[in-house]
Order: sequence, then C-alpha cells, then structure tokens
Amino acid sequence: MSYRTIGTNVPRIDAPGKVTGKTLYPGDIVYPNMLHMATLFAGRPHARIRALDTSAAAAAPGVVAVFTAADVPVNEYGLQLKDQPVLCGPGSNKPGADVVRFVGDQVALVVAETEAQARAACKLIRIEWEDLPVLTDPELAAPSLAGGLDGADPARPVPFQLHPHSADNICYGYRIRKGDIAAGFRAADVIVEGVYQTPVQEHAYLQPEAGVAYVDEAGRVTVEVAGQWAHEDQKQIAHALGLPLEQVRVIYPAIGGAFGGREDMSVQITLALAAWRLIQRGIRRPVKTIWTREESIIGHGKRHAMKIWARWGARRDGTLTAAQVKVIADAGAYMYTSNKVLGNTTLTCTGPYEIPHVAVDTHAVYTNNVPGAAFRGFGGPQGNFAAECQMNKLAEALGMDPVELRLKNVLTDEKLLSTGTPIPGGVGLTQTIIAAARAAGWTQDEAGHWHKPLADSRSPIPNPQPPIRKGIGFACGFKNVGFSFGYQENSYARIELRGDADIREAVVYFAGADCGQGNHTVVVQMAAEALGIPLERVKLIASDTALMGSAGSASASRLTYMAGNALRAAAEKALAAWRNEDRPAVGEHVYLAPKTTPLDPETGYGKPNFAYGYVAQAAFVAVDTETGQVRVERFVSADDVGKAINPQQVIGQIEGGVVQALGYAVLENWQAKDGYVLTDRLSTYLIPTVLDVPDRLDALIVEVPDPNGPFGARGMAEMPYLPVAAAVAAAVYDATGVRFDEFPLTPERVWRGLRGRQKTPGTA
Amino acid sequence: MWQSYFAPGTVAEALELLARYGDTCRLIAGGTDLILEIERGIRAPQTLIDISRIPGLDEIGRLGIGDSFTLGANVTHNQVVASADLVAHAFPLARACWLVGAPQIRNRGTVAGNCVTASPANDTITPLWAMDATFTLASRERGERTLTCAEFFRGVRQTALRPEEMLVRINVPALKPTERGTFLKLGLRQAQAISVVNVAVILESRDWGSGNSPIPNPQSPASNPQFPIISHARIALGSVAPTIVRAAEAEAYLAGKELTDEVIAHAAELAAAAARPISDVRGSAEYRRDMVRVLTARALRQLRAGTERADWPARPVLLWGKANPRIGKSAHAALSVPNPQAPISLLLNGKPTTLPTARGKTLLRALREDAGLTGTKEGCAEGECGACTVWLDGVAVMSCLVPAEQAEGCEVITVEGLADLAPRPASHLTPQPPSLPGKGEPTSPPPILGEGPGVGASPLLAGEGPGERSPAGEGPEERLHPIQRAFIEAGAVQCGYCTPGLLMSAAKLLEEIPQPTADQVKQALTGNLCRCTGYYKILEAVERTVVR
Repeated sequence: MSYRTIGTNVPRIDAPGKVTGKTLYPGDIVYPNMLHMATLFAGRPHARIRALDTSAAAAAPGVVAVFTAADVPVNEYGLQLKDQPVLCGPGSNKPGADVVRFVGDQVALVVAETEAQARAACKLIRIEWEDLPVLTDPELAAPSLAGGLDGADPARPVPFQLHPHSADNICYGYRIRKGDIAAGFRAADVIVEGVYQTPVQEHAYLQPEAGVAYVDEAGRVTVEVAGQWAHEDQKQIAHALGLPLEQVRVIYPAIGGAFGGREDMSVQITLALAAWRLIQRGIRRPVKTIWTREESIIGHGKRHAMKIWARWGARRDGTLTAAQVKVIADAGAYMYTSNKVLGNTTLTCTGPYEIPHVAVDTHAVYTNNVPGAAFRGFGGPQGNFAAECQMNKLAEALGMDPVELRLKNVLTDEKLLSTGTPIPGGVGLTQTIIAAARAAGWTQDEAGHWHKPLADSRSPIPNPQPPIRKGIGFACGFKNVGFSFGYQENSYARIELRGDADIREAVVYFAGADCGQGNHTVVVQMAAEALGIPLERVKLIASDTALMGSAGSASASRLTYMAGNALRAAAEKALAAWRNEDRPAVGEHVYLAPKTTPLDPETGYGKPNFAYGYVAQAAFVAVDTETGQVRVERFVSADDVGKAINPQQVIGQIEGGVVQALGYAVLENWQAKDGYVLTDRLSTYLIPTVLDVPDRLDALIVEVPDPNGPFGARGMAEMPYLPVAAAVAAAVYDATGVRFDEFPLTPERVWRGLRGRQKTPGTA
Repeated sequence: MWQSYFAPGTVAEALELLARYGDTCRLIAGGTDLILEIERGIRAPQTLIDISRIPGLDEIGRLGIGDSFTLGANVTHNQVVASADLVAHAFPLARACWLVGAPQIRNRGTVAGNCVTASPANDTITPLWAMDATFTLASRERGERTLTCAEFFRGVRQTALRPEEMLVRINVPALKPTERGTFLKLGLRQAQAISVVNVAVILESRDWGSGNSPIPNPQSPASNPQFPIISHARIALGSVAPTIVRAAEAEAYLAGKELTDEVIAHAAELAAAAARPISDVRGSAEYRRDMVRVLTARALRQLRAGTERADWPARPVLLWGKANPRIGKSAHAALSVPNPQAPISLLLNGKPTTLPTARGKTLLRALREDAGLTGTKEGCAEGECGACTVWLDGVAVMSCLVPAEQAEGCEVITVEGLADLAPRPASHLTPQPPSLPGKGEPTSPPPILGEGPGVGASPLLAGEGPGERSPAGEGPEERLHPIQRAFIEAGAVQCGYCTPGLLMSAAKLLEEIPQPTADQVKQALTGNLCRCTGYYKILEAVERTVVR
C-alpha cells in the first residue's frame, strides 16, 4: 500500500507556536479582571479535621472567597470509584469526607485578587486536627495478603479501616487459574523464584498543574486545563458540582506533558467549583490557579510501587511449563485507576509467553501514601520487570541464551494468553526480538542457537579498567492497546468538507489530547490520507467538549489507533456526502473497537483486549564497582508499531520512553517516610539530564500490521518503556554477577548489593 | 517578598546600608541561594542590598607569582572556570566551580555566595578549605577583618559573618609549582547534582614542578623510590560533617611517604575515618564514609599520575556568548535610592520597556505577569529545570532566581525575541551580534498563531472554536532563528514546555562557540530538563544548525 502522507515525517503542526513562545499552556492564559486561587493541601497523611476556621483568611487583604468541603455540592470524585472527597473537612454531604488520607488531599480553596494574597490567606486557615494512625505498607494494611506466594491467610485481621466502603483495605484484585499449576511445576526440570520490588515514580512533566475557569456566555462552567480526556474531566466536574453534563465545558490548550499523571483530576473540579460558587454570589470573574512544583508532586498520583512474588518452571529444552505469580500493589489513599493498572500487571507479570499452567493473584491495597495512578505503561512495566527477570534467571539456570529462550516461548499469532484466549493477530514480537538481538550484536549459529556478544565488544572502551565492569542485558515485552477488559473503547470524529468542485478545506473535530506525543499532527496526517487531499487543507479543531464528542483518553497507547479508525470512517461518510453534493459535506462517526470481555473472577478466563504492541531491547552498561554508579552507555529498542504514521514522531516516543524508563531503572529515587514525601522538588527527585542518557540509542521500527489498526498502525507510546528496567538489571548482573530484584539501581543500592548488604538504613 | 531594594555603587555605601538595616536586610549578588531561601520562607529580609553593580567586586586579582589570588564578592563560578590563571594555579577551585549546577547557575552564583550560604555540600568551600583560603569581611564600624576557614565557617549554614558585615573578598593562595591538586565529587546524576560527598586533595612533592617527575615503574625495587615522595598533603572533605573538614590524620600520614598503592589505600582509609556523615535523602552515613575513601584514593592516584586535568574541557561552555560576563555592567547608574513605586526600565527584546509593578518579584514573574511574555516558563522555581532561561545582558540565566530589580537598565532577551536575532537575508554573511538585537529597527507585531485565546481576550465574550490547529502554522512571513527552525525540523519539540529554555541555551552556545563539539552541546544543555524527548532530537537540532 502506498500512501501520500502516512509514513512521512510531517513536521509537527504545534511546533512553530512552541518554538516562538506563542503557544499558551494553561498557566499562560490571562483574562481581564481575573482572580487567583490557592489550594490548602492537607500536609498530613491521615487525620480527621475536627474543625476548620476560615474567618481570618476570608478577612485577609484581597480575599474574595474561601471554599471548603461544605461548599462542594456532591463531595466525591474518582475515575473508577468515587472514593475521594473534592475537599476534605467537616460539613460535607459525603460520609468520611472529614478525613484526609494522604498529604495531597485538598482542604480549602482561597480566591483572591492576586496569587500572593491567595497564598498568604491560605496560611491563615485554622484547622483542628486529630491525627490518626498511618498505614504505609500494603502488607500491613491488608495482612490477609501477606506471606508471599503460599502464605495468604484471610483470617488475619485488618489493623483499621481506611475507607468506609472497604472492610479489608483491598481496593481491587484479579485471579487467573489456567491449567493445573501443580502439574506444571511437576513437569518442570528447572524452577526459579524471585521476590521483586518496583518503586514509585513521579511523572515530573515540566508543566505543573494549572488552569482557568469561568462561566461562558452560554452559562457553562468552563475550565481551560491540561488533562488527558476532556470529556471525562467534564463528567467528573458535572458530578461534583451536581450539574447536568451540558452545563460544563472543558477546553484543553497546550499540555505540558502528562504520561498518565493528568488522567485523574487535579485542578479541574476545584477551579470549576470556585467559578460556579462565585457566579452564585454575583461575581462573574475568571479564576486561575497554578500549582507549584511541590504541590504538583504531592498533588497527583504516582506509578504504583509493587511487590511481586514469582515462581516459574521450564523443561530442560527451555519450554515454559508453569508460572505462579502474586502481586501486591500500593494503591495509596484512593482508587484512581488502580483496577486498570492492576489488570495490565495481571497480564504482563507472566510475560509475552505462552505458558500452559498459570496461577496469578494480584491485589491493590489502600494505604496513606500518595495514590498509585496511571503512568506510561499502566502497570505493565512492573509486571514486565518480574517476568523478564524470571526469564533471565531461567536462561541462566538452563544454560541457554536469553534471546533463544524467549524466541522458544514467545507469543505468536493464535497462541493462548494466560487468560485462555488467543492473542489478537498480527503479533510482531518474534520480529522485534530478532531485530533487537541482531542490532545489539547477537549472532545465530548454523544449528540455530543464539549467542550473546562479548560484553565489551560494542563499547567505546574495549577493555574496561577496574573498577569499571561492563555487561549486556536483554528483555522484551508486550502491552495492550486501550483500557478494555470489557470496556467498550470508543472514539468520535467529525469531518466537514468545504469547497465547490474541489475540497478547499477539511475541518476535523477531534477531542483527543495532545500531551506532547504529537497526536494532533498524526490526526491531520491520517485525515488527509483518508480524504485523499493535501495536508495543508486539513484544519483541526481539537479538545473542546462543547464542539465535539469524546475521543476517549490520551492513554494506554490508544489514541492513534482509535483516532485513525474514527477518522477513516468519518472521512468515508464525508466523502459520500461530498459526492452527494452536500456543502459542507459532513461525516461524523463514533468508532467502536472490537469487543472484549472482563476476566472471569475465579479463573481469569476472557478476551481482555483487542490489540497489543510489542518491544524487545538490549542494554549495555558500565558499572563502577567502587561507587556503585551504573552508566547505561548504549541502548537498543525494537518496537513493532504496526505502521509508523510519522516515523520521526515514533522514534521520538521510543527515545523519550526509553530515557524515562532509564530514569525509573537507575536514577529516580522516590522517598517517603510515614506518608510524608521527602522528594517533593526537582532538586531532590532527580530526573535524567542530557548527560545521563546513553551515548547511543538505536530506535528500530518494526512494522507488522495490526489487522484492525488504521493503516495497520498499533499503539506504541508505552511499549518502549516496558522492558527497560529488566534489561538494565540483566546487564548489571552480566557486569557484576549480582542480581538486583529491586530498583532503582542507585549508586548506593548497587554498592550495597556488591557488598552483599541489603537494606538502606535511615531511609524509607 | 522584599519591600525595598538598594543597589549601591560602592562598598562603603553597601556597608552604610548594612549598618542601617542590620538583620532586616540581606546582601544579594547572584541570588541563586537567597531567592530560594526567600521563596521557601527560610529568610524574609525586608530589604535587599544588591551589590552586583559595585565596580571592581567582580574582579579576580593576583597579588604576585606564588602569592594569593583575590576573588571579589561578585566573582561568579563561571568567571573562575574561564580564568586561565585560576585553572592553572587553583585547579581544585576551578574544577569545583565547573561541577556546580549548570551554566546558567554558574553565570549567576558567586563563590562568595556559596561560602556565605555555608552548606557543607557547597562545592567551592571544600577546595577553598584545602587551599587555606581566608575571608576578608568588612563593616562600617570596625573596618576589615580576615578569618581562616575554621574561623569563618561555624556550622551547618552558619558563618562568623555579623549582620552588619559583608564578605568583600576571598584570598586564595595559589598552588606552588611543586604542588598538584584536584577536586572530586560524587553526585547522584551527571549534571545538576548536589554532592553526596566531595573531596579536595592537594599534594606537594619535590619531584614535581622541576620537570624531573619520575615515571612510575612498578617493576623496580622498592628501595629506589618509583613514586613521588609527598612532602605535604592537604585533604578537605565536603558533605560529611556540619562544616567542611580537613582529614588531618591522612595529611600527617602522607607527609614524607612515597605514594605507593598501599600508602594511597591507607591514606584513603584515614580520610574516611575523619568523616562524620549523616544519613539523608542523598545517601546513608555508611555509604558516604566509604565514598570518602574511594574519592580520596582516586584523587591521590590521579595526582600521582598527573592525570587530574584529563577531563578538563579545552573550552568550557559558559553560556555568556560574546557578552561581557560581568552582569550589571550595562546598568547606567547605581540605584541608591529605593522607590517602591518606581517602575523597572529595561531593554526587553530590543524595545525600551518599563514595568510599573514588577518590584519585589523575580524576573521570571515580571516577564510573565508584567510584560505579558509567557513564553518563558516556570517548571520548578528553584533553578533546576531551566524552562525559565533568558539572556540578561547577553548572559544565559535562570530568571526564576533573578530579582526583577537586577534587570533595571539591562537588556533582556526572551524566546519571543529570539526570532529577531535571526540573520536577515541581506546580512546573513555578517550576522548581528546577538547581544545587540534589532536596535533601531522597526518592530512589527509578530503574527499570531491559532493556539488558543490570546492574552486579553475575554472569555465571557469569546466565540466558540478556541483550539484551531492547522498544519500551516508557520506562515510565510514567520521569521525564525535557525535554532528554532532546526527544532521544528528535527522533531525536537514534544510537549514544548521546556523548549523556550532549551532554545535560549542552545542559541547562546551557538553565539559563543559557532562550531561546538558534541560534548560542548551537551554541556550547554545540562541546565535544561526535558521529560518527553530523551534529548536525542534536541541534540540533533543543535547539530543541524552547525555549519561544518
């Protein structure tokens, strides 16, 4: 198939505005007569607010209004479960809303003439606190789950309940029983075990949360904000304000990064609440807020920390026979998307392999930590780390090359997932493994066996001097495109064609969020292709709930896939109308992705997803064995993207995803103690600088078409993230002979590991 | 924030103000520490006394060969890095300055300020302590006094400085020809990292400096020394005690010893024993103590081999372009009389501009809130992310750490002014000096791109259709700086929030070093965090603009 714009490196349509400083992000928007809002955060991990006195704040200079829990019409919200108060405190209509459950719970809003006045007045709010005991360890919060693979005991009592609705502090769980796990282990010649611990990660998008709210000329409470799903924001706001959906409008200006961290509400509801309550008091003025970096870091959810117990078996020839896995995820104070995150962990924790006998139990547990939330990969990286470390241990135990072991067991078309149903077709995993292995220097002999390159043959310094040791590691992975697990994925697109004989202009209405990943550019590309017109004639109107239907979330590597299918159908309809001489010719379509099912609660049987993406990677590291510093010198990532709509942007996603995951693997060291966050700044929570990235990153695009994807494309933005930590851990093992089942591989952790020591005293 | 702001023209005036305002005021030079302390409520001075406009305080003096250097109170980290004299004869200090923060921070932060803040993790104090530097303080009533390191530094963030006193200069004895020294630092990442541990080591050997340094030969008999004999050693340790400490036992042990592997190992153990570290978010006490051993041994080995300068860049990236590095030089006059109502006047993107209500806030907020230039972003408000990078008198700085008053009478260029620096077709062979942009040229309003409602648009009246995105975003009239064009073409822009700061750093590098090496490009961007791209396409964009 030859295309006109698909597959070409069209420059991003948003780049000119961004390089000249003209593009407006939420914090850049200024309206005349605007007020400013500051938020009072709890700052305590678990406490009851006995009383709250706002009189001094209300009387402070410049203050226009102070809002508390009593001002919230329906004081609850949450994407998957409405278990979080908008504002915590007494006088609320929501039971239990007088309790703060993590440091980032919000207590009050102060609206003033200036930001400085609003912030100063916040400090004048008097609160009578009753501190409550704090639970930060999921195994202590839900003792029935403790005890590893075989040790759970439902009889163990819960210390205390964190939510009225949850008696056992367990917020979600999945269970898979495929085949006969005992028989699977009996059939194994080799069994390996591991207990893996994956850390919290902060999104650290460069733009802190911000927005502006006002009531528009149609009487709609309007919020201009950076989010990931405008129509879901609209729904959450409408629910909390007790308003009909059509009386709420959400608009996304430019979004300064998201990575999942903007999926849950931050300033959306509070801004809307302020604008709405002000109007009721006769004050018709826009309200703006900007969170500081510290507020951003405590105020939005994080990647879930997980503890994963794994026991896998294989025959001597490398055939996997059994995998038994248990996962406990720290959900933190509220549900957020823990159920969805855990679903992906449930699938990825047994790897992209066909295994006849599988037993998986996964649990998400409430604690008083900052909530676990969506973050690139959505639970996939955690499960992947355990699975791929298990595979590398098996390869060693079997004396088999890790690439060869993977190729032997890997999922291919029609093979069965752990959920008992075939994987959707077009599986490109084998191709990505071969591409990554070859690029990294693996060779295959005449008998078909694979051989790892020497650790130092591809490194800049061929013979490292002590104390430097070098190593190579390999890992691969898969992840679903879209949320699914029975959820009907959908996306709206509308195309209006204008002109006379020829199409002069095509106006595309599409609500998807461009968080920086380049969605709007590929939407224009795909629309131009579907319409058969030059790119320059396509105009995109995006991300305004008043003008278009829902595109669904900019999440789960789903947006290109969903948008493309919606646009293709809308284009077909618009072109039919065009041929019918309609002017403008309008085509509107809601694309529904192929049907999926939830997993059976007892066996996990089901068809959870309609498409997957695939990736394989190799890491080259140099370890300073005296300081423990790990330097990733080179990295190879091969990604099956189905069809690269815009190869330059695809490579940008691979590079960005790999570096973000390298931060997760070796650098980013989230620290909290007793529910308090110790790393709430960019000077204490360190993310990679330009000097911290590998000298060389080979981003390889593999294109095995997805049968249902637009132009063959499948989702791809999360997949390059997935196997990075496991590949790096394998490389560090190759270099040092020490296994690390826990990361980040900070200098001190590696230093301890090399000395056979374990825990870091004095830090959480 | 602060209520009043003075910018005296002489040290005497500064001392007069200090005497008058005492502990309700605070001196400010680079501001990289003080603005943070104010933002975090650690200090709340009512009055700031800006000494950055005092002539002479930014000078590096040399009293004579073999004698001391003097560093005026306004000497920045980058001035030290750029001083061939200091690199030659005070290498430990130069290397410490190079490893501080990022170029934008090194352009503002002063060595004196680093000392006055007196955190045990502050990198410049360790080499100063090893080099036996002294500190000259002055006050109106008592004149000058000069203190040793041990007298000046009193504890964590505590010095002997009295409220009415000012640190006027640091006296740094030069290394002798028979001495070698270096500074090593362990941070948690490769740039912009606070020291977990740092060490400064200075060794003296009569084998050095006379051109007859023996070549190490491990095969030779031990009776005939193959390694240098150390006559004197000075070792200072940072971030392992309430102040920097000297490893006295290690120093004494090394005196008179041949620097064998065994001697190095034992000296390193003795240095580790001198550390009294604590555990914090950056590392445990146990790890810190062992890292003192590792770094001390490495420093000793490097000095023995004479390789301590092996990674010193031939041309360090400074990001001051072709500008005079002395910030504030373009100010027309000292600002002795504070008028809280007086507007701040500056040359902003080539246009004379007055900002009536910008006092008492940072330059970043003044640009965004008062000048309406929102292209400059806030990402951290603590000098970590670089999204707020602008040029102040031709020097790249992080505007979140600059008091707006320091821009009075100065020239400021933001991302909105970058395109005006693009070589015009007629003059592309002789580019304009970027620090003198567009003066006298007619200014026309830039074309507006369809990206959301503009400043001043009323939401209450605005029609529908806020978010039109068109592939023809860059109109034919749009003039772009080559680096802006390269960012578009290379796909270096994703979310774009870091982009303005990166552009300002990259453009400044290209002005300073038109054909930078790959390493120089990376060094220029160490102060700018990007979370989307992994930096590769940004590096590619800079590379595209370089004419090889």
